[in-house]
Amino acid sequence: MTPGTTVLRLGRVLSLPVGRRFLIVAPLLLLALLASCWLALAAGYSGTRAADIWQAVTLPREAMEDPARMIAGFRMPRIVAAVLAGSMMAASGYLLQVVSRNGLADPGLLGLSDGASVAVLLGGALAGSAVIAPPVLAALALAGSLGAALLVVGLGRRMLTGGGIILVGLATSIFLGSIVEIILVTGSAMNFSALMQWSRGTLAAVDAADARLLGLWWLLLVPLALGLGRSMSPLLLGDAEARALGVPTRASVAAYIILAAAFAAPVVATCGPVAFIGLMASYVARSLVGDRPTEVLLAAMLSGGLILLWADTAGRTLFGPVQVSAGIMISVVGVLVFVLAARAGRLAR
Amino acid sequence: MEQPRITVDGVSFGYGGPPVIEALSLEARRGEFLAVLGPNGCGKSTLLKVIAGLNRPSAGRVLAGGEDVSALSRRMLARRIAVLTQAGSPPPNMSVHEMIAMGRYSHQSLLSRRSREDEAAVARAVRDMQVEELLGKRVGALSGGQLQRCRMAMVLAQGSETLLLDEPTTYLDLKHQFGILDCARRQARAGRTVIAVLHDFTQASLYADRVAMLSRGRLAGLGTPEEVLTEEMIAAVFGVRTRAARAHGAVFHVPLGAAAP
Repeated sequence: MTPGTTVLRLGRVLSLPVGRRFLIVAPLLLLALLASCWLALAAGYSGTRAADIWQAVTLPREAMEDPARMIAGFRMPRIVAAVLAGSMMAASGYLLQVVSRNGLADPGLLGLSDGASVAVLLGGALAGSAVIAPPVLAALALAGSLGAALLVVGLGRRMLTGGGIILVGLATSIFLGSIVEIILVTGSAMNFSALMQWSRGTLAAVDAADARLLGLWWLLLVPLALGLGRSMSPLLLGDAEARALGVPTRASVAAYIILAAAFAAPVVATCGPVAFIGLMASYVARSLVGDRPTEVLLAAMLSGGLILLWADTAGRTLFGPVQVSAGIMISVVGVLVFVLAARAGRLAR
Repeated sequence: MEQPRITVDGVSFGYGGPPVIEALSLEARRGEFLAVLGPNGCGKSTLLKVIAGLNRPSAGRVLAGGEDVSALSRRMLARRIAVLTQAGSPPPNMSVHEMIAMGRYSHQSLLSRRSREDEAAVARAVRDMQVEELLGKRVGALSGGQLQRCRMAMVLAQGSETLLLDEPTTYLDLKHQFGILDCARRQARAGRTVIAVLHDFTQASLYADRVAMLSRGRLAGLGTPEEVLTEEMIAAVFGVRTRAARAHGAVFHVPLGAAAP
């Protein structure tokens, strides 16, 4: 009886409504992602044969020939990290959009990325020339982005469920952003150019340990988001409506903001604060699958992975020998695409 | 004697400033349609929000089925009390069916998000509000009146024993005004309790079992429409001189002009 929706059932225990559009779009996105991963594995300076990629993906490290080992050692972690980081930034952005009921929210906008950046930079400055291990860096980033989230929620607690939280977030973001600038400029900070690149978002320095770290966080957070995500739909109706329907809105909103911070933190720690992915991926996902939040979340994660993977792959291959960082590629290409999409959307309406 | 379904016991509430509601007490029983009337800003909507547990009273308490509303979880409270709020703004992309189905939120869980019971309740609500032909549309494509009927369907789908309706007839043409009131009365006759903020005296007298007249946050009158909707009461509360007439079981008020201050 439900237009455009199928209900998956298992006795009386399980009943999940799934949009038919989602059932078509999600596998296609996944397919596109896998195909893009293959293409990205093949793209680079040295000519790569399909057989090398196949070896790199299927064989254990010891059994590989040299070209395959190169791919498995360098390109693969970078590609895995790009997909994971893109999907996590997308999840973070979409959660914030639901909370703020504002389609333009993004971890960069609410100050979460900046909070993580400040923490990572301060950590780097204090450590001096010592190298900080990736898990420590991620913990720092989480502390920073959670700190920013708590600051935003605390300052905006009276506006928690309205659009006002965006203004508080924007102010926080500008404040923290200027602290980042101060650290970058005054920082006799060891390698200014590397930090500069990182602060725009880049996957150039990502290694297998970073990819593993992102994977762990991903496995931990995605089930949490899907489990807690049930109250996203009523929240879209507004605060009083959601409460009348049975949602403890303050607790839900706080949980989503913390979750959004946790999604953004490991990404900032490993790849820097890549902006715009949350905003773009959610926009694409909404126009593809409609407005059922759990489906938008999943579609946005797939789209976010695609966006960051393509941005990074294009950045490292198109202009060789120069590598353009993914953050800059996304800012250039992504913003153009976004403006075009927004225009198309308005014309179609 | 049967326990009242809703008890408002000496409740006061203010939005940080002077009290909007002061020491107000009333009860609503099973199967009753109670209309709340009063001039703009007299605290009608605020009273509904206090009963719904959306505003926490600064003094007094509200009981739903004998239990203090502030002690119930949002979920348990939603199963007892459903609210048609005054100005909902669902996202324009949301499908109408999706919105109505959201009324079932408090009956669902992590894995059970669209049970057979949910579907039956939604289908019943859709029939009750006669919105079948709107189901496939996006919320943004609805007129104000259509949206109001769909929101009412969402509230009915919630299946709660008490319905709080804040100006349910807003945006509706005459036919659908009576459609929604007929539906509310059917709900009351079926054993639910309906508390509705209304503006029209005639409609209140036709549909309500009792009328609560509010004036500046206090109860100015409580009783049957005949008892409360008198010329003296309208003059005192609304500041308008009227001539009352009775026909076909309804009380009519013909306005004559502003009352002497």
